[in-house]
Amino acid sequence: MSVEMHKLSKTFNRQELALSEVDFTLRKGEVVGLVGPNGAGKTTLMKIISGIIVQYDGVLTFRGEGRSVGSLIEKPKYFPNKSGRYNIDYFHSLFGGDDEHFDEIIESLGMASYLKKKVKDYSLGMKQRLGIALALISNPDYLVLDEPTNGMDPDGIRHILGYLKRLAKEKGIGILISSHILEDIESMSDRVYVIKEGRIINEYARDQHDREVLELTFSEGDLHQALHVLEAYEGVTRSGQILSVPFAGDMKQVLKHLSQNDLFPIDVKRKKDTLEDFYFQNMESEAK
Amino acid sequence: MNVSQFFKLEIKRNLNLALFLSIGFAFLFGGAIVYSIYQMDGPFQPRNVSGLYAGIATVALGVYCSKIVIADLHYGTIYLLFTSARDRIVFLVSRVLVISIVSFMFGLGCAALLYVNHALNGQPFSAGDVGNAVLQYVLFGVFFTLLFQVISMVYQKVMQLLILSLVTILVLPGLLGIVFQVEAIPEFVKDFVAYAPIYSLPNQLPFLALDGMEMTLTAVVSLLLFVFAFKRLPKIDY
Repeated sequence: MSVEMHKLSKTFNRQELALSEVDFTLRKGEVVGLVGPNGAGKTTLMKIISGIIVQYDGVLTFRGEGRSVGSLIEKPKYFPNKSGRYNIDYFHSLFGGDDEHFDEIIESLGMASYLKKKVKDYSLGMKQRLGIALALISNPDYLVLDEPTNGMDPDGIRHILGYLKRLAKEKGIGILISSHILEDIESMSDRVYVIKEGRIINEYARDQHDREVLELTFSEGDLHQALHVLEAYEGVTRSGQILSVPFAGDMKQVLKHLSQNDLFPIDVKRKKDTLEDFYFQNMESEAK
Repeated sequence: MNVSQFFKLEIKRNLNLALFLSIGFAFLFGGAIVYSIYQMDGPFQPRNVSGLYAGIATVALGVYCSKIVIADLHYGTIYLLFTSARDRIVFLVSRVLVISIVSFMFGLGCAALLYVNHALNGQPFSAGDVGNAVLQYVLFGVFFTLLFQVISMVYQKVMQLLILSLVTILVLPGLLGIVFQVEAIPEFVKDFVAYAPIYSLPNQLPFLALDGMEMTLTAVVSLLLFVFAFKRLPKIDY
């Protein structure tokens, strides 16, 4: 059960290409991150999945049972002059869903004591929680969240991300989440798509979270040869005089391989391969 | 989906203090004519009473007609309401239903004022006047709501839409009226303008003077606008 995009493109005003031949999959029960610079096409992609944008080229398919999508895109949407209770009741009545589910959302998002207040008097974080509650009120099969923790305090962020992760695992909801806080995305996503200029340029998989990277700094003279020697290793990237070599197992093997070719790095650092590294490597390599 | 609960909340959202104040002000405004007839046995008729009432009622109702379709664009709640074709249709139907109720209340306010005029000044009033006032206000509300809905499907800038709606109700009928003063304009064009709801409604509603032909045409054009919106709304990007 999944939502799949195949060669999906979207052009605004017949000229402005927002998405270009995007292939994308979101399965039920998994959390997929979407990262990229402003204007990369994240919001357009989310709007297409949510059914807000309906004119596009390519194929969007919902496989298996269930195709309802709840969304929080750009910023939370609500009637500001009405109470939180009114807003929730309004969309609850439109989308349906059982009351038990409804009460659980209110409780889990810590909103119970705020429901009587007008939404315009809420803090930014509380408005964000309301936005998430409204996205969840339809008991959706998929959830699309654009910067869901915007304006929340650190405790709130941890609480909300934990709750969303539980929703994916326990209720089997497929969650697509975007944020500029890469740590948040990394902590909760099974996979992360990197999007730039309307194209998905790479995918960061869960198993990469545990992968380690050797950062080797070479002198100008050795750099070219080192790059040639390290071609044997998959995913080697360069940033200035630093070569990053993903490895699994023994780092000594990499160093031995270099020394056999009379290559000795000036500096050696061993670190975990983070989404942040992955993201910037991809952005830099795309820029070249 | 709990349709009755949804409509109930939608109506609750729109039957607010501003609505009752608008009707109250229109009533007071029209009441000034009733009072002058009472005090001075003035030269006014019931049509002048409803006309002055409409001075505020048509503007207020016009604002409601546009507000009811553009409020969700303004708040962005369109993003929650428009996630499926079914929800978009529910939106359309609920807006028509709500504006019918709002217009009904404006019509009742007008009828109530005519009754007060009858009670105080002995001027003609019948049960038919109630039905006529309500029907004409409902036609006005539904037509302009559907017109603004269709416009908002191609142009989604909120403030400009609000201004456009006021211009459509307050200025455009006057501009269209110019065609009747130009002799060179063919008669069929003049007939077309005269019966066009966009002209006939704002001009005839104040005097509750829409004739059967005008009402029928307004109903038919409203139906066409509804069918167009019904077909197109699920196919539009937001």
